Amino acid sequence: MTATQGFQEAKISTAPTRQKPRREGFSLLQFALLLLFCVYSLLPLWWVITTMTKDNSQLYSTFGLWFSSPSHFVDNLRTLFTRDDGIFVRWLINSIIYAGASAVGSMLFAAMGGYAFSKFNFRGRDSLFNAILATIMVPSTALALPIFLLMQNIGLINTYWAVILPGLVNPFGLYLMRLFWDAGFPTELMDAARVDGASESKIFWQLGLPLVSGGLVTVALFSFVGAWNNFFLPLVVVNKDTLFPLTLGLSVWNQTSVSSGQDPIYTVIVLGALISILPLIIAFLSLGRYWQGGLASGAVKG
Amino acid sequence: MKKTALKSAALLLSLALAASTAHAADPAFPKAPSGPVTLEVWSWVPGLDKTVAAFTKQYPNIKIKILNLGGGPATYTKLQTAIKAGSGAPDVAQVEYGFLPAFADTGGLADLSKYGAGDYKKYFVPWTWGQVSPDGQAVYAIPQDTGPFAMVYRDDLLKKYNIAVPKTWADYAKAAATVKTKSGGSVKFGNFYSTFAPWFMALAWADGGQFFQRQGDGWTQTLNNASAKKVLNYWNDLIKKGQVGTLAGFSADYWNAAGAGKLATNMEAAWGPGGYAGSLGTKSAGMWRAAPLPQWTAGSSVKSGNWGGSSNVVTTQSKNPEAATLFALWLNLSSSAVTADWNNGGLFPASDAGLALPALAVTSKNPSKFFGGQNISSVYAQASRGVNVNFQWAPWFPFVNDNFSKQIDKMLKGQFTPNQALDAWQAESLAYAKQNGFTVK
Repeated sequence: MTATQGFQEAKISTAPTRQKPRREGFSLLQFALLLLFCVYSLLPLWWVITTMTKDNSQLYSTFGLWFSSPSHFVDNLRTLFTRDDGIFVRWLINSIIYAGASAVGSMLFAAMGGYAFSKFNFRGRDSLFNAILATIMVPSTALALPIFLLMQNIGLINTYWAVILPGLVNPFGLYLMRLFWDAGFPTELMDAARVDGASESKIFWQLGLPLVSGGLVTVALFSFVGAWNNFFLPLVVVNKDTLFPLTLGLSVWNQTSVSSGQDPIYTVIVLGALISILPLIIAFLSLGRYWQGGLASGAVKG
Repeated sequence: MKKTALKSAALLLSLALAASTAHAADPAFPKAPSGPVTLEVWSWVPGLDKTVAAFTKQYPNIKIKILNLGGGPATYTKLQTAIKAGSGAPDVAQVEYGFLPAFADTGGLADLSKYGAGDYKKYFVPWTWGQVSPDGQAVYAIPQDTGPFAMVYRDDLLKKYNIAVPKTWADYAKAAATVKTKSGGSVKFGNFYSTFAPWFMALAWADGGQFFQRQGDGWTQTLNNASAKKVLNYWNDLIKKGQVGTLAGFSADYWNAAGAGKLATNMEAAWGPGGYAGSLGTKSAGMWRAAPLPQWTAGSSVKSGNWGGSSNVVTTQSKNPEAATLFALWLNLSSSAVTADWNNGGLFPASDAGLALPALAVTSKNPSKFFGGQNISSVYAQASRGVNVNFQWAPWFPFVNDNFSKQIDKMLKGQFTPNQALDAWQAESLAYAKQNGFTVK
């Protein structure tokens, strides 16, 4: 938001006397460039959509960017939801559970942690905060083996918890929430509430949280997308196909098609992939407003 | 009433038939454990759960839990993680031959000779045992499926250009030149998979080429061996003359060319024809045939190499290694399992008796049906018996595999001669192996 406003101001101030034709020419070029980029970005998605209407041999023999037959779409849909006793639905539900729990949980923990760092002064606060920041740099792949051992030792391997618990930790979310608390919830307001006799939990839950809702949505979205797309963690900690999320399940189907070469179901997998990104698209479209505003308001103070 | 009686009689008969075919040719397997045992099995064989139902019927004490991860890098990462962690690995896992040394090197694989696996060597095609027991002592796995090499070709195109099926590489080169002239270059006679090292290695393997050799604690690596040089120079020549293409395997371009009659032959493993039937569907159906791999010397017995295939390992973490060994042997030697794996997943057997199973010879079903009803399994069975026994892989093979494409790319761009490409492949892989602590010459 801020960036766009700034851009508009700059444009107006540098070219206050420019007449309409010139400005239209400029926006036409801008429009063409954006359109080009838009087509470029959406082309793979378009391919995914046209591929849904093909069977496997048409995948290679027909024009990639146009539809083939609605009956194949129905066939693909049926195969997708009935193959291996309809396990795709189970994977879909699992993904929703993993990503949902991760989004809600990490949002809450990040909000609480960020609140503590923002509003309370305690010994070692800065070094602790820096230590948390440093963990952002640790790639999740490097954590797979330790997480695997940890889950194995506490007996949670091969359960929902093995995927959910690591997903609750989101150091970047905590960092972001601290910025939001710093910017969105003035300490003076907190002090005033205390003077009025509000309890600490009331200050946090009822007074504070609504003021940083943009941050909450941002963190939740980040965690949701991260958990939704996570492949490596479930691969390592889960040993039953009924616990697979969509990423792992579809990848197994794909690999089976590649490895065995028999009865390949690539077009069904493509359809499954499209269905698997629908929740992300819905999440972004419905929450994107908060998300944008949230990022910007954090950025100003940060 | 009569109908029911007839039906049950038929049912009995078919049951008896099933029972007799299931046990007729099977060797005597090791003793089953006395108490109840659960085995965890990681495998990407399609329909394995159904195959295993017959096992649990025969061995009610042993329960099998299957995890299918589809194969490929992710499957190996998971297995590697569990082995490194020291817990969480399955009892039995499917591993491709080329990756066996890498896993054996981690110390995570049980030596099955301790559980009597050595007694079953005689039931397998000799080269497959060479893959799982390179030194002839320790046995790291039980061979499962194989990919011996043969040539697939378009019968219609060869007839159209009036060419006999080439029996030698000299014939093949001549035919390639003829097809280029007669088709004006629109039809390629063959295809060089420039990104598949194991494909290329199989061709050198057929000529007796050796790429790795274990010697005590050290290794010898010879990626630029004489056979490799011969094979690569031969193909590079055909490529430069425009008689042979370099389409990427399993790509849309490749299937388009193959389906549209723009490609006359290719060298494919035993599991390849199933992929042709699956990916081409009705396009060019019935026009393909299979023939033995062209030979370097006329009139010699058919020699071949292998691409792909896999084995079943037992991990050192297994609490029931005897039962796990029994399962791995049963899965790859019982005629019911080998038949089911062929029918469900197109797994070309590693066992001697498996190659002669009636199911392989069925020509009314794919892949033979797609190949004009020719019994292509017999072509591939002959190929398997002609695969050189002494062929080893090395733990750093994954790097060698990736590095191949890089060097061949330079060769195709004209920056390297074939010999230079192989020398660079050898040098860079050697440097990598040394960096990773292997004693290699």
